[in-house]
Amino acid sequence: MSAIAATSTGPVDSATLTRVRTRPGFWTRLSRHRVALISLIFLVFMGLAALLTPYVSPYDPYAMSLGDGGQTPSLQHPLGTDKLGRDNLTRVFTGGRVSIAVALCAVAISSSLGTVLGLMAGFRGGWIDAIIMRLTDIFMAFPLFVLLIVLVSILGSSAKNVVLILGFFSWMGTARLVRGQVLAVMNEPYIEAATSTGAKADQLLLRHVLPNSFVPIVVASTLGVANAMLSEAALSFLGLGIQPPTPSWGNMLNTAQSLQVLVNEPWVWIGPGAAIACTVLAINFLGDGLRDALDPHLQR
Amino acid sequence: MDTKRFGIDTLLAGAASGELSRRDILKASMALGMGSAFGIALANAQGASAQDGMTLTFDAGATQGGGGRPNAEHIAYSFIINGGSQFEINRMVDARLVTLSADLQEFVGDLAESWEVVDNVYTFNLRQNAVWHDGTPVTAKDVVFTINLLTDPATTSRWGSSFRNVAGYAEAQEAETPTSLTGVTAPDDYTVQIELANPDSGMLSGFIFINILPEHVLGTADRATITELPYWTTNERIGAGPFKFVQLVEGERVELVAHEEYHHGAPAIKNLNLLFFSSAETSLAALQAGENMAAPMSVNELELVQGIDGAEVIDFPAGVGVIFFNALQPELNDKRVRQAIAYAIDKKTICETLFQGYADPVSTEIPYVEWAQPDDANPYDYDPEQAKALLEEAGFTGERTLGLWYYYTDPVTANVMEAMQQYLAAVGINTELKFDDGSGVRTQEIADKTWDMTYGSFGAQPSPANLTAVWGPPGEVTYGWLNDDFNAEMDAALATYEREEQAVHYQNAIRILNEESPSVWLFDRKNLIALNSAKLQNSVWGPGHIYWMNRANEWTVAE
Repeated sequence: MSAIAATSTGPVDSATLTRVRTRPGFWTRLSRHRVALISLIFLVFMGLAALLTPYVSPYDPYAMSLGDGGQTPSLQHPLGTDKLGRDNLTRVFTGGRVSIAVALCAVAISSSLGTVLGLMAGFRGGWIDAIIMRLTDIFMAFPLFVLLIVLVSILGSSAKNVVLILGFFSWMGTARLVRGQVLAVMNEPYIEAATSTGAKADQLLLRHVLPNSFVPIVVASTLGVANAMLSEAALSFLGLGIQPPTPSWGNMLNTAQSLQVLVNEPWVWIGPGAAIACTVLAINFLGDGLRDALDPHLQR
Repeated sequence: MDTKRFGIDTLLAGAASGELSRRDILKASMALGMGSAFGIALANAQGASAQDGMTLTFDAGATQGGGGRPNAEHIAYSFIINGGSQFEINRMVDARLVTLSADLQEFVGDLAESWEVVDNVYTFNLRQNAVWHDGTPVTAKDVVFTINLLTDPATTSRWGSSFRNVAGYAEAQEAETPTSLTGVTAPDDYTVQIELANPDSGMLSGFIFINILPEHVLGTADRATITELPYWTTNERIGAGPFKFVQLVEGERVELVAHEEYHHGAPAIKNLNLLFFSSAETSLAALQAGENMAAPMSVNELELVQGIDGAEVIDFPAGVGVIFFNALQPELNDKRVRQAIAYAIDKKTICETLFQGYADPVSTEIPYVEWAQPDDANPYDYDPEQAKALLEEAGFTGERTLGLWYYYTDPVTANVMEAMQQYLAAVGINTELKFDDGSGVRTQEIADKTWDMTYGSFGAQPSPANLTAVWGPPGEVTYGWLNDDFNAEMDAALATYEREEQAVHYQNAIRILNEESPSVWLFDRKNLIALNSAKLQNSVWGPGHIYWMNRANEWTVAE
């Protein structure tokens, strides 16, 4: 990152160079943000748990065993079993796999789309900018969640559809952010310098503009993962997102709509509920930490 | 779906709690979203007594198969187009010619005191003490008017085809101006005669859903626009049921008052408010808070309800859970595949665990009608190996994932669906569970004939006459299955009025269904109500596909 910072600052005076050189590295800066660091550790744990659960857990997250349904927490089943006799803890971690994967894929689409459109709008300006920005305004004018519900109803509930819908309808924030960043970068003296030395448009875009827009994209994407995760959970909670038997945190919470489960069987919803809350919180903290650690203008 | 080709039989198959009625309601109430419910509030006649504020709630969404919250349009629509039994509101306000006993064993008279069939002529003798809410006597002319109204093509009522075997029915369908059926007459004020062109021993099945309308109020109404009248949802509404309509507050409640001259006796409860709740959970929570007197529930809530002081769990028949097949799909056109599905599902274990005993495994459709049941029906006990062998024999590859629709919103059904999906996967049948949220996707699939399977309900009656609805000619358009032998047996059963002779043909027909498996019959389920029995007394509930609040005039509220 310091390399980027050095590149991005272009022709600089010696004082600035000294400042950049003495600025601590990315990991050092991130590790100073205690909450972000703890969040990162938590997220790594959740990621590993989600990945390794099928190899570590003695239970199959999908195979039912009706005779074992509705068990209360025990040493064998720390979060009890669901009505179909499946181990809740195993399903929470397996559900994490789905929820995290859906959110990451959706954000990959939305961030890519937002970045490309933002770059085009900011870099090209003129009527291209006007069209893209009006398109962004139009997309932003729709209440996103209502749109999600309608589209899922029409296209059908599946992980693929949830990913595509979330991806294609949540790029607007990134596009605006990137456009603003591009406009700011384009006024920097080093862009003027590059242009005067005969840099072509694609060189300008790829070597100067994009790298200098990187930080807000990373931060926005990180926070986007949290939002996508919440959207997926909400859709699945309503029965419109990930469909059984595939577990996701949202559809596991769906069972908590029953008053009986809510009141008398808290172990059924505490697992997925806590997983969503903690993961989203951790992602948000990590986003904060990343912004601080990556921002070249911040000293600490 | 070609709605015009659907008659009463098809609706009977859905039997109010079944798939068709809900689809129709949802069609009309799509915008209202899913999972809506309504409840009933009871208050004392004097209004200011200690009984004020006591509320009886129950999930009418369940009685409509999870359908929408009724508004003015739905009430009239359900009344004329789908029949009066659609909403408990109509059930409370109106009366029928005959209805069902709570145990489903027999037809019992409502407005009819007695009836007989001689030489293909049904003769109904009406009660002479029945009066409309405005004090006018209910007479045979009202019954004749109602039948002529429903069979008039202008009203597009699905109940008209109940009378397809009545003399003059075919002519009335062809006529350009409203024509009375020649076979339906009123020899005197309290006698109705229905002469049949073709024998039809199953005609009473239709009457249990048809509410009788007042000729003196609606006789001059334009039949094509009759559902648009303010009549249905204002105090202009005149019925002959136990309660009078006072007003509908959209989205909130319907207010009713006792009909003091009700022919089965004046209701003990003088004011009855039907409340709309956002969900079944809300009404159950209200019961728990002591504000409600009854709420719908599932077996998952048994422990919760047992912990509520004075609450009692009431169960009553809910209809048989069935997987309906679209036999137009190549895989499902092979009876071995359908039989394999029957063998693949462990009905017994599902009944014992997920339904917690509030359901029994079945393999034929009318477990209540013992006299019509063959004693040699294949029970299709759980046998995954047999299922696999049948699939292999049928050359079933399992390449295509079959859609399995369901529309019940309760948590138990969700678990049952998931369990069935796993049982089917275990023998190599991959399914995608598809919840019908009323967005119209399933309706479209049915119209396009691209659907595969639907888990729904078949309402039991004292006679299996309504089997033709799904598995006879009226059902072919949707289910794609038609069997000449079955139709011949059903026709023979409908052509005789002798119980023993009917039994022989019905048993033969059911044997064919059992062997051919055009649908898979799974669970004889119960509806459950959490009742504040300390306050609400003498209440009779069900059968769920006819009405939930049975004989409501006899219900009392403890002081």
